[in-house]
Amino acid sequence: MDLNTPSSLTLFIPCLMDSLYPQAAQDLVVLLRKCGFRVEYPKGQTCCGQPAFNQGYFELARKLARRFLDIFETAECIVCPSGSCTAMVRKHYPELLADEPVWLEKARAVGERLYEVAQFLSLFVPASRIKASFPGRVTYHDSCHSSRSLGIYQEPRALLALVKGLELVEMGDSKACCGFGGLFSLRFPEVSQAIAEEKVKQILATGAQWVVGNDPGCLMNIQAGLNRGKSPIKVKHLVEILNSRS
Amino acid sequence: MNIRTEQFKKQAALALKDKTMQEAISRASRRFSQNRTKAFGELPEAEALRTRAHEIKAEAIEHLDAYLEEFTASAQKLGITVHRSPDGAEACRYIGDLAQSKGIEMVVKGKSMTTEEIDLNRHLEAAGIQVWETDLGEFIIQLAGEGPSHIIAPALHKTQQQVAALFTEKLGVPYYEDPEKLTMVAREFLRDKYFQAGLGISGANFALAQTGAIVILENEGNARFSTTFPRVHVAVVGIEKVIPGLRELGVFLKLLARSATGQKSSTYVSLIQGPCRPGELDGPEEMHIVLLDNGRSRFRQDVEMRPSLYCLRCGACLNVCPVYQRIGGHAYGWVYSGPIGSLVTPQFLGIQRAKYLPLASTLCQACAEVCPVRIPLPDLLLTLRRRIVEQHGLPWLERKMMEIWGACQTSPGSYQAAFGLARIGQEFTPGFLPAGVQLPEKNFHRIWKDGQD
Amino acid sequence: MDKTDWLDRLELELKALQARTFRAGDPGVLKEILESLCRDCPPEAIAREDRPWLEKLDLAIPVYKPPVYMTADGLHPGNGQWKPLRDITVGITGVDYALAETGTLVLASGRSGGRGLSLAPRHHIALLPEERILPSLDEFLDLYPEGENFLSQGSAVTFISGASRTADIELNLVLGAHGPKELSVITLCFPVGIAG
Repeated sequence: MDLNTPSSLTLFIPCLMDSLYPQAAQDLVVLLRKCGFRVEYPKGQTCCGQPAFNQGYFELARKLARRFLDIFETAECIVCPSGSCTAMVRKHYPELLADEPVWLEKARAVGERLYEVAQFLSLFVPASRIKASFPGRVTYHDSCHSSRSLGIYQEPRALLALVKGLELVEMGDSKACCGFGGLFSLRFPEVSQAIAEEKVKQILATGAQWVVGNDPGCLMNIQAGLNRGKSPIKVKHLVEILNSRS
Repeated sequence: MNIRTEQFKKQAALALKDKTMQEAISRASRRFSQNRTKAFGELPEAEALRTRAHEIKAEAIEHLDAYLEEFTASAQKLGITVHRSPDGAEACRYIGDLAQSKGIEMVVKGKSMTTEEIDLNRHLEAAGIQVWETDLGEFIIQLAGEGPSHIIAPALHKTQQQVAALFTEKLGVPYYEDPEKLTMVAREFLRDKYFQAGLGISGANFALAQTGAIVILENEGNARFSTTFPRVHVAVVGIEKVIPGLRELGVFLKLLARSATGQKSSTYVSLIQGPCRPGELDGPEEMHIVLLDNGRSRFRQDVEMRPSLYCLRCGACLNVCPVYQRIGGHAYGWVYSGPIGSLVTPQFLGIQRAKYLPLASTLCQACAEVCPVRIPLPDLLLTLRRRIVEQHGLPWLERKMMEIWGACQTSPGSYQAAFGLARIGQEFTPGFLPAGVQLPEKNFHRIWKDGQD
Repeated sequence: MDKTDWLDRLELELKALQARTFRAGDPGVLKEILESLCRDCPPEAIAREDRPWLEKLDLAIPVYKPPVYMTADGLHPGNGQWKPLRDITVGITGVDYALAETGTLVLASGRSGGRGLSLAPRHHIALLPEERILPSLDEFLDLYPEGENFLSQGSAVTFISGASRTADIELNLVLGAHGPKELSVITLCFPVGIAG
């Protein structure tokens, strides 16, 4: 192992994954242990505050940010299976806490030790450690925050390339928004669904059986769009694929 | 134009049902953005140019007062009459009075979003002056009595069949569906007007402080016509259009057409340096520049929102916006649509009146990726959202729910209780989670706690 | 780009903009090209700009000279202009500079005496002295570092990149929306004696 590779990892599980896709979180734990890491999960964690922040409730977001930082400040290395949550902490916590020097410093320190899962795996885990098998045709959805805020694009694809039997087919525009936008989908449901419909059209055109991504919110929204279109295609989180044996 | 920003939700829903318009907007915005991507791919140092453009705009807007003074002095030296208008109503009065004092009965207009912002046509027509839009897209929507549906292609939402029917009805010509024939109809119809009109009105893309010149970019030639043959030319220019000089203009000329349509350059770029000079056979006798404020100084003072003034009105953000692509420009309810429209409309009309616009975004950041002057559009949208919350602009019920949700996040106990309640709730209110999505029996917190991990 | 490549590049860009390009090695060839371009046009519908070096080319094409319409007694504007200009189908102008990279022609109203001939006729023929080709806009702006000299170019300096066009109806490209439908650029590869 690398000198810089952490020995113990702290999990930051997005509240949407916690509530809707707990099996994916389990997959993440198993996967990380298989790669030789000790895994910790601070039970006090709730939500990073992104839903509040995105709708302009900055005071509430700050409160939740401080709480988050308290919980995670002693972590050596934090892994998060969500691009948007990672971006929230890395990019937006310093903005929110810009006027509070002590908290700003904590935000920066924690942000530096936080990795989105595909980034983490590509930086710290040799390819030989990924021994997954998932036969099937798959297409990858780049969530807005992963690709645009964090610059993640190659990492998930490089990881999927290691999966036995998996065939990756790209959408015409994998970065096109899925239409979720957090509370946007509740405020403007018809527009949100119309955007999702466009994404679904792209997915259908690939002939894929599965849609893979790293953002639980997007995955949920895309699944809903697929269900509305009566499609049998299912969504899977990247870590579910990486932890699978056929 | 009638302001309908409060009816955004209804208008968006209506737009979604209009399949023809949807297809037209979708196709057009996709084509524009593909062309833009290709054009930027071929531009060496595109990213450095965007950064430079941002810096130029930031500096110009920061020192706007000084540049406006310099521009005014330079333009006056060229024989141009410069008039500062504090607001739209005053600008309309100035132009209306000018036209009437000269007995002008007909006006030809080049494309100018700024003149639509101040409803200039309506004011002139009320004074009995005939106004003809000469840009083909503007001409079409003028005949149709509609507002623009896109910043650079105002009639994007119309099919050729609709245009053909419109021309037949309003101009009495036979029904031609062929776009070339339709364009020739407009060309012929407007030709004489350039020479009969006593006044030509244009906007400007840039105003050069060092020389006093204004710059107009176009593809058709109608702005050249409107600013060459009528005896009087009035250019209505937002104060934020001022940049230092030719050197800076060069940076924008490399970016603007590529951003808007993917062209390397607009077909015509006119640098207008005053009225007709001795020895020249054409050009107006008299030239006026109306430097329009209409709230722009106020936006400038608002340091957080100031970057929205850097906008070049290229429309690139509209073309990549997933929301705009679905609902088109009319749903936004005013002149400016898409991401930039969502930023400036609340500033012009007030947050309360236009609050749905900044909320109607998924914050996907596609707009920021393409903005030629790197306006941080998503950040500014968030700033407006924050202000809406601070001003209690959102329904009480929503604020309450957000409070309760927030409270549930402050301790693991309340978080788990909320999860439990939501599980029960999903049985009774199927609509609150999207189609087919179900909360499982145990969340990960519980699974971990139960040691199943 | 090498200087010898500038003309090649200019023609490449012009063709992409639906313009026709020609090279004239001597005044005789120039006359032939003009004759063939204007073959279907009645002689009274052709006019040229009044530039000294165009005069010297001895093209036997009448100069566009409308009655001056600026009068003190406030005649209805444009009356003097329209009839003569409307009847011209082919407008022949000089070119002050060309920018190879974007296929752009720069026409200064001060040098040529006006803007109308490159705007109103259906066919714009532009005569470009080869020595006036520059690689790009940057080099053009280098000629006017502080902008002062630029002002002497006239009341309007127009950068023309191709024929007039619009795509406002369902994104169908149509040429000749208001400005010229056809643009032909003849590069003069012989000395024409331009001053300044």
